[in-house]
Amino acid sequence: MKDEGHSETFFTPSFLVRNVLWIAGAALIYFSVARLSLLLIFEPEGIAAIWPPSGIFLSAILLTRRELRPWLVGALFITDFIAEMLAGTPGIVSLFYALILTGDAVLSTWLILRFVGEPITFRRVRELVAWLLLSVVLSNALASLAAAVVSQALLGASFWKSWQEWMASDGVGNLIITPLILSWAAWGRTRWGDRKIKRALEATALFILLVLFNYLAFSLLTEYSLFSLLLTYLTFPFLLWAALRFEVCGLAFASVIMAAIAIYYAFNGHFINNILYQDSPLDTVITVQLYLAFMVAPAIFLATTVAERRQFEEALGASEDKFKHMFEYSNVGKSITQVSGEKSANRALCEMLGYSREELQSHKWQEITHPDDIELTQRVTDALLSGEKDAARFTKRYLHKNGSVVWGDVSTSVRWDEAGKPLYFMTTIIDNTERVQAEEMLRDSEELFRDSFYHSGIGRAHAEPMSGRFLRVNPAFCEFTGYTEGELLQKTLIELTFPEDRESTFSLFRRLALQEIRTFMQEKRFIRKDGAIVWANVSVDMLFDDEGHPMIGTAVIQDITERKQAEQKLKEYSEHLEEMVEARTRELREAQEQLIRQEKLAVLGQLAGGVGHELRNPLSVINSAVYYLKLVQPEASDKIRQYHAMIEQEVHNAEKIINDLLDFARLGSVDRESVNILGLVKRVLERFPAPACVEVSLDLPEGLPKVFADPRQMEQVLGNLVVNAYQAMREGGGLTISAHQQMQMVAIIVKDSGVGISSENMQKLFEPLFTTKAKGIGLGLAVSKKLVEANGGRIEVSSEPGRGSTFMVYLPVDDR
Amino acid sequence: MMSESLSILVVDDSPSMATSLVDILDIKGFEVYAAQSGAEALEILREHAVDILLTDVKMPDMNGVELYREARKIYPNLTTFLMTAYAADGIIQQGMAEGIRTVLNKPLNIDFLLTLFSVTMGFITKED
Repeated sequence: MKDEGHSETFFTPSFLVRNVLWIAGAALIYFSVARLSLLLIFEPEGIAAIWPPSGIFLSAILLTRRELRPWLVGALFITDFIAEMLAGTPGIVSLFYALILTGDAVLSTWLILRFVGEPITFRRVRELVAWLLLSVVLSNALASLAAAVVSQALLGASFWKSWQEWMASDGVGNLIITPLILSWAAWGRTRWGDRKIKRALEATALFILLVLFNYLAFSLLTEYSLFSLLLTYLTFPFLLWAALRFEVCGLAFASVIMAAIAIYYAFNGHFINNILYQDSPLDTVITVQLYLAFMVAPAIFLATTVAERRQFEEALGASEDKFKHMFEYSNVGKSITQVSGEKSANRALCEMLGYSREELQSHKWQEITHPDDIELTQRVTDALLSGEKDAARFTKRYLHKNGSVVWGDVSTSVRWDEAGKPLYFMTTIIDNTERVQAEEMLRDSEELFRDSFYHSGIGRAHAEPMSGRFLRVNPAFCEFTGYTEGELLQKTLIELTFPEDRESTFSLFRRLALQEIRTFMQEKRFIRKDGAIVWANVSVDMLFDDEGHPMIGTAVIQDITERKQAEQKLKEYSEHLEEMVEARTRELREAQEQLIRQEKLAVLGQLAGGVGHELRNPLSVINSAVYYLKLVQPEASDKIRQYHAMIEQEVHNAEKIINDLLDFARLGSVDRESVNILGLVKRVLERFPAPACVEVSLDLPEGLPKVFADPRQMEQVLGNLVVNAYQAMREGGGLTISAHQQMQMVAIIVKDSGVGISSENMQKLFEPLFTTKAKGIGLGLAVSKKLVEANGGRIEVSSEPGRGSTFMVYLPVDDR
Repeated sequence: MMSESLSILVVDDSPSMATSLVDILDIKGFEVYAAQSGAEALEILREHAVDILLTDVKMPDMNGVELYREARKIYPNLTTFLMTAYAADGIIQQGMAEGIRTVLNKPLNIDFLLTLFSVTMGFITKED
């Protein structure tokens, strides 16, 4: 009932041949050994003294491929049946015996596979025990039971004896043959070391001595003595030798030799019991069987133990070797530090720290640790020893022999013994120096970046490449825009941009992201939080990742508002420059003219003062002289009197001119007081009464405030104006004097209906030495203007030639 | 009559001025002396009793006020008038404070001067 896949492989010609040969070989060996064994049958039970085929059967099944086993079992069953038949055993008995033997082998196999698993090689005590108990004892016992029933029923043999004999012969056969076959089958897997020739010589010596000793022992049995009996047991040390030195292979071989010799002598009546007790052949068989069982069983135990031990040692050695290799040749530093402080380090650690192995062992760990990290290391060690942690990983600094710092990524754990005492620390140290230095450099460069970014006096910002949203801004930029950092991170570069500049910024930023340009610089406007528009020079760069995607836009924003404002002003200035130059030129010309006038006035003042005074003396003399002449000539002719009067009149005129000059020259002290306009006007009109042809009218409101001025100077001013008016109206006319308040001033208006003033004369009207009169030196209005101004007022004029003139004197209201 | 009339000393560095005044005052019946400098005036004052001193302010050797001060040492109650062609200045102010009666601007109003003398004469006569 095999599936096709299997049958195909199974029935390929070469495979088939090999399998058939295998089964046939097994059957042939089985048949030969069975025939040989059947020669050793002790009558009357017809049971062989030793039955090696049982071991062959079991071994053959175990060594055969699983799918081939049924065929093998069948083949051996038939072989056994034939062998029995040929030995003269009745057919039915042969059949049963063959069945029982087959059943024993199958049951043993099943039990071994069930409890041990294949393959068994007699290298483990567990395998040995399982085989002994399950196969040699249990399965054998059951088979023997069946065989005893058959023997009794069909051959009339004693049940008890049959059972005993079957079990002994079958068991001993199994005991001797199975280890031999299975151990030798596993030969290839056994390592004998390098000294193969020596081993071979030893093996040869062992077997020669074994054979010799056995031969001697059994030969000497003919002479009855306790010594010769003892001698037969002295073959045991040879078994021990085989077991200890050659394990199961050697022992099994030795066992077979010993068994062969023992059986040979037993069959020939030279066995222990024959000599000692002269007993029945059956007893001889039993004696041989017991002899073999008790000699072989302990030895095979020993052999297996030795094998197992050797394997264990080999495994341990291999493991130690692996560990040692792992420790010693690891690329990372490793050390094992005893709790007492002794430590061993591997090559990598020695190289890492620059010490030789011996130097490193003689240094305490504190001596190779950076002083600042000793405390840390101690803390970790304590935590591990207190059981707080099983293992620890931390970074610490070691000191290289040359004094430099080595950064170590340290993993350490404690090995505890079964009693819970710490044995040693297992430590792995990875040289981290380069990474730490790289990290430090990175940190430094990050710090540098942070510093240069955040502490820059110039605005800096990072923005997302697509949206332009700010990712990072510095305080200078916050100050520039008037927003807080938090507010700015919610905004985009475009949002902050003045609407007219948005399009250009947007398109430049996009071209930057598309790598059309590498960088751009733009002078543009921003809108501050308070709505003010500010100017900045913005230079923007873009960072790209490895795949060329834009990652971050970086902007440097320099406030150029002041410069822009200055530029704007400059532009405005340049536009108005012409106008301004013109105005300024005019001002300058006027100032110059003013200066000239003032200089003229100053010179005139000095001259007038000097001349005026000096002229008074001669005038005074003339005056006195005329007075005297009039006095001494009371009876003078009319003509003379007329001349006297002429002289007097001209003295008077001269004096008036001199007074004008002196008034003009003397910017004497101004003595200001509260002055009533009405009183002032009246005094003036009294002093300078109007000629008959002039009609005077006054328009002075009653509530007019008083002015604060020097009354005598104001009388002079008004008198001057009034006299001028009279002179302008020689043909007659009207003089109107009016006054009104205008802000903080009182305007006194003197209006005549005289000849008026031509426009070309208007400008020079108040200049000294200007006059339109035939008489007079032209100081009247100049003096008037000076006096009014000295009193905090001003004087204005308007005129229409032919229609008259109007003089307006403004004086400050007395508001004290 | 003459002895009862006021005696006036006219001092002016201008001889014409002094002479014309002396002539006028002489005709008007005053006893008149004339000097053309302060020193000359003081000499006259020491030799003659004078009721009124009429002096120019600005003169070469000493000014009118200084002359007044010297004259008062001789006549403590001497009535003094100043004549000046110049504006009122500090010297004149000082003189007025020290007892000079008045200042007359040149050219002199002779009628006003005579009136002034008449009034003064009344004072002096009464005092006498």
